[in-house]
Amino acid sequence: MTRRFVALLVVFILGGALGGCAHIPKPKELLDLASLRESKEYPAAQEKQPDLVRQSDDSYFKSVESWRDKEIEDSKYWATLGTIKLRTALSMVKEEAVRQRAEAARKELAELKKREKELKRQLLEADEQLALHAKLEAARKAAEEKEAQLKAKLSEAQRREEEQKRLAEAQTKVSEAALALKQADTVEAAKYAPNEYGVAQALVARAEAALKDGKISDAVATADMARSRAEAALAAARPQYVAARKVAERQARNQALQKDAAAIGGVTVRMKAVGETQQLIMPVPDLFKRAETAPRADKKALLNEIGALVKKYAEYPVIVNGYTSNRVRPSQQYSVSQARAQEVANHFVSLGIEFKRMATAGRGSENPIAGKASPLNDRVEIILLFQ
Amino acid sequence: MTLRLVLMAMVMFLAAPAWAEEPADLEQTITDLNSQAGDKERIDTQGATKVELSQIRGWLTNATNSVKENAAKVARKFFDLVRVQMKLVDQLISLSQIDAEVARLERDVAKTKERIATMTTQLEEKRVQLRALKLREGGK
Repeated sequence: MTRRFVALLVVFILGGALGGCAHIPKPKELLDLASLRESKEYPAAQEKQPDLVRQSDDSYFKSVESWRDKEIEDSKYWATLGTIKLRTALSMVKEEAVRQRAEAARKELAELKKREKELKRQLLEADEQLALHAKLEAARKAAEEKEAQLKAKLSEAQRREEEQKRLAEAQTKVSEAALALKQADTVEAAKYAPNEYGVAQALVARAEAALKDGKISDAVATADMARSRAEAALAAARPQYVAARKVAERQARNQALQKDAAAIGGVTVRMKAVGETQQLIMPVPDLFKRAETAPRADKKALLNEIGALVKKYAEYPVIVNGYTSNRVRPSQQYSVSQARAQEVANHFVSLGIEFKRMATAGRGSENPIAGKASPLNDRVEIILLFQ
Repeated sequence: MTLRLVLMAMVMFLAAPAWAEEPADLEQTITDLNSQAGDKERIDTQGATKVELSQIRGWLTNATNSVKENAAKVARKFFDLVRVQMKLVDQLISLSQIDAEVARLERDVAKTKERIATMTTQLEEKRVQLRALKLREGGK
C-alpha cells in the first residue's frame, strides 16, 4: 500500500512537472488571433486581401512557433502583429462591403430623389391646377355675388319704380277724386247733394293725408271711394242744379224781356199771372182806323220794334189778341178783331218770326182800355208767355 | 577571402543605421509616433479607434521604458506594433467614416421614402380633389 502510494506520488509529481513544461498555455493574444482566424469573414479576407492575410498567417505561425519554443513574449508579439494585420484585412473587406452598401444607397437615393423631384413637379402641377380651380371658383362666386347684387339693385330699382308708379297712380287717383269733387262743385253738389258731397270731401281729405303719409294703398282706395262719392254727388246734384239754373236763366231772361219791353216807347207793359204762367202784355192802342184791319202806317215802326223784341226772345210763345172799339158794328167786332190779330201776326212773320210760335185771337170789344167808343180800343195786345 | 571581407563590410554598412540607432533617435521616433497618434485622435471624430489608440499610447509608453532600459530591440518591436496599428486605425477611421456615410445615406433614403409616401398620398388626394372639381364643373 505504501509502495503503491509512493509510486502514485512520484508519477503525479513527474507528470505535473512534465505537463507544466509541455503544456504552457497559449497566450491570450494567440488565442484571440486563432479565434479571429475562425471568423466567418476570414475566407473573404483571404480572397480580397491575400497579402495582409498571408502576413497575418506568417505572424500566427511565428507566434505558435514561439509559443512552442516557450518564447511567450515573442509569441504575444507575433500574435498581436498578426491580429492587427488580420483585423486590418477584415476591416478592409468590411469597408468594401460598406462601400458597396453606400453605393447602393447612393443609387437608391438618387433614384428616390428623382422620384421625389417628379412627385414635387406633379404636386406643383396639381397645386397650380387647384389654384386655378380655386381662382375660377372665386371668380365664379364673385360673378354670382355681383349678379345677385345687380339683381338686388334691379329689384330695388324695380321696387322703387313700382313704388313711384303706385305713388303716381295714387296721386292721379287723388287728383281725379279732387277733380270729381270740383266737378261736383260745378253743379253745386254741396247744396243739392250735401250728404254725398260731404262724404266725398272727407274722403278726398283722407286720401290726401294718406298720400302725404306715404300710405299709398290707403290713399288709392280712399281716393277711389272719394271719386265714386263725388261722381255720385255730381250725378245727384246735376238735375237739381240744371233745373235751378234753368229757372234762374229763365228768370233772368224774363227780367231782361221785361226790361227790353219796358224800353219800347208808346207801349205800356203790364204783367199778369195766369196759374203758373206769366204773361207779358204789350198793348198797342189806336193801331187801327175805325173798322179797318190793317195797322196804321204811322204805327208800323212801333210794331217793328215789338217784332224785334219777339224775335229776340224766340223761345217765348206769342199770343196776338185783336180788339175793336164800339165804333165797329157789334156783328163785325169779332171778325174784325180776329183779322186785326192775324194781320199783326202776318206782319211779324214778314219780320222773320216763326208763325208756329204765334196764336191769334179776336176778342171783339172785350176788356176796353178806355171809353167803349175810344179809338184807343182799336188795338192789339201782344202777349209773351213764360214761366 | 577579400571578397568575403568586402561582403561583410557591405552588410555591416547596410545594417549600420539600425544598429547605430541612438536613444535620441528612438525617442524622436516615439515623439513622431505620439504625434501621429494625436493626429489620428483628431481625425477620428466618431471615436471608433479609442481602444486601438489607447493601445498605441500604451505601446509607446512601453517603448519609452524600453529606450530608458536601453532595450532598443524591444522598443523597435513596439514601434512595429504601433506602425501596423496605425494602419489599422487608419482603416478603422475610414471604415467608421464610410459607416457614418452609409448610415447618413440610409437615413436619407428612409426619410426620402417617407417624404415620397407623404407626397404620393398628397398627390393622390389632390388628384381626387381635382377629379371632383372637374366633375362638379362638368355638372354646372
